[in-house]
Amino acid sequence: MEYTGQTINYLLQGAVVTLELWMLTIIISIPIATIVALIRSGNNKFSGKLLTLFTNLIRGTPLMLQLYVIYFALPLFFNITLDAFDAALITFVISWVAYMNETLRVGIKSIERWQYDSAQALGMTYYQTIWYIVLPQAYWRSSAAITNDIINIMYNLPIVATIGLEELLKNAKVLVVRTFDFSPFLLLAIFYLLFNGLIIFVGKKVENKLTKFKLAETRI
Amino acid sequence: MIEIKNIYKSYFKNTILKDISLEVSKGEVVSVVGPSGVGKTTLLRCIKLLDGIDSGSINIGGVDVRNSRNILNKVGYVFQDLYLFPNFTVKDNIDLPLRVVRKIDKDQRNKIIDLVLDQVGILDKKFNYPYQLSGGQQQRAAIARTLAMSPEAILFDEPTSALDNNLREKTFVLIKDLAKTQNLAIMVVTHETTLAEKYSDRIFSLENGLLNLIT
Repeated sequence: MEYTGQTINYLLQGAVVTLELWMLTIIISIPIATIVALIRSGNNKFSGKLLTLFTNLIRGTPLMLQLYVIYFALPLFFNITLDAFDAALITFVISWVAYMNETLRVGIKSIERWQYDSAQALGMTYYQTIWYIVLPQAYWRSSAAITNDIINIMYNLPIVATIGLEELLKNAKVLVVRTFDFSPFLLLAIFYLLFNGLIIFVGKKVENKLTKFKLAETRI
Repeated sequence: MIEIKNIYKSYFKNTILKDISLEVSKGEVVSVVGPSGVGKTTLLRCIKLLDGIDSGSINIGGVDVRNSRNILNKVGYVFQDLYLFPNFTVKDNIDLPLRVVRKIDKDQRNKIIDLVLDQVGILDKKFNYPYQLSGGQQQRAAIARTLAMSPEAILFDEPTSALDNNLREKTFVLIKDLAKTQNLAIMVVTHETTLAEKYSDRIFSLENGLLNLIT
C-alpha cells in the first residue's frame, strides 16, 4: 500500500484517540485506585466491604458489557447520554480502578506492621505514615503487577471501536478493508510491540529499584 | 520524667501487667529484666501508647499521655528489631521525622543529622541503606534517629539482643553515657541481667505481671 499523507494522517488520528484514552485512564485511575485500596485496607468495615463488592463486580464482568451499560443503558434508564469518548474513558477508568486497587491493596497489606509502629513511635501521624512510608513501598512492591495493568489497558482499548470510536486498530482495519493490503496491521504490530516494550522497560527499571528493598527486608 | 501509676494490661483475658507503678527520672537508667514473654516489651509499648492500657495512668513530664499525645514525642523508642525504614538511607531515616514531625528547615536538619550520627559514631554510614549496615551499625542508626527528635526520655527494647558480647557492653556504655551527658530518662528492657546491673541505676524484674525492685 502506498502510504500517502492521507492514510498516515488517518492512522495517526486513531493513534491519538488510543493514546489519549490510555493516558487519561492511567492518570485518572491511579489516584482513585490508591484511595480505594487505602479505604479497603483501613478499619472502616462498611466502606471497605462496599468497595470490595464494587471491585469484585467489575472484575467479574466483561469489559465490553461494562462499556455497553455505560454507553447504551445509561441513556435508556437514567437519561444520561455520553459521547463515545467519554463513555469509553469512564468505562476504562472504572474497570482499571477495580484492577489496580486490588493490586495496590495487596502491596499495602504487604507493608509490615512494624513500619507503622516505627513511624508512630517517631511521632508521625497515620496519614504521614501512609504518604511517606506505606505508599512508596506499596507502589514499588506492586510495580510488576501495575506494569501488567498498564499494558492491559492498551490491549483492551480496541473494544471502544464497538461504540463507534475511531481508535488505532479500527482505523488500520478500515485501511485494510479498503485496499486489501495488510501492511497497516504490520505497522500496528510494530507500534504495539515498541510501545509496550517501552512500558516493560520502564517497569523493569522500577522493579530493579525494588530489589534493594527486598534485600533490606531480609537483613533487618 | 516518666511516671507510671497502677497500670493493667490484658490480652485475651490473660493479664500481662498487674498494677505496675514506676518512675524514671532524668539522667537515670532504669532496667526491667525478665525472661522472654513476660511482658517487658508490652510495658514499653504501653508507655509509648503503641498498645492501649486497661487502667492506670502514664504521665510524661507531669502530663497524662491520654490528654496530650504530643507529649509522647518527648519519648523516643528504640525497637528490638531496630525498625529502620528499609527504603531510606540512614540520613533519610533521620531526616523524614525531622521534616514532617518537627518541621525543621533543611540546613538545620542537616546539622542535626551530622551531629547525632557523629555522636553514635556512624557518620561515615550516612548514605548507606539499612541492609548495608551491620547489626551494631543499624542499632546506632536507630539510636541516632531517636536522638535527633530531641527526646527527654528513651525506651530501649532489648537493645543487645542481636549483638555479639563486645557490642552488648558497648551499647550499655552508650546508653549510660546518653543518660548522663544529655540528661535523658532511660528505660531499658532486657534479659541481660549482668550488664543491666552494671550500667543501670535501678533494676526491676517483671514476673507474672508484677514488677519487683531488685537493686
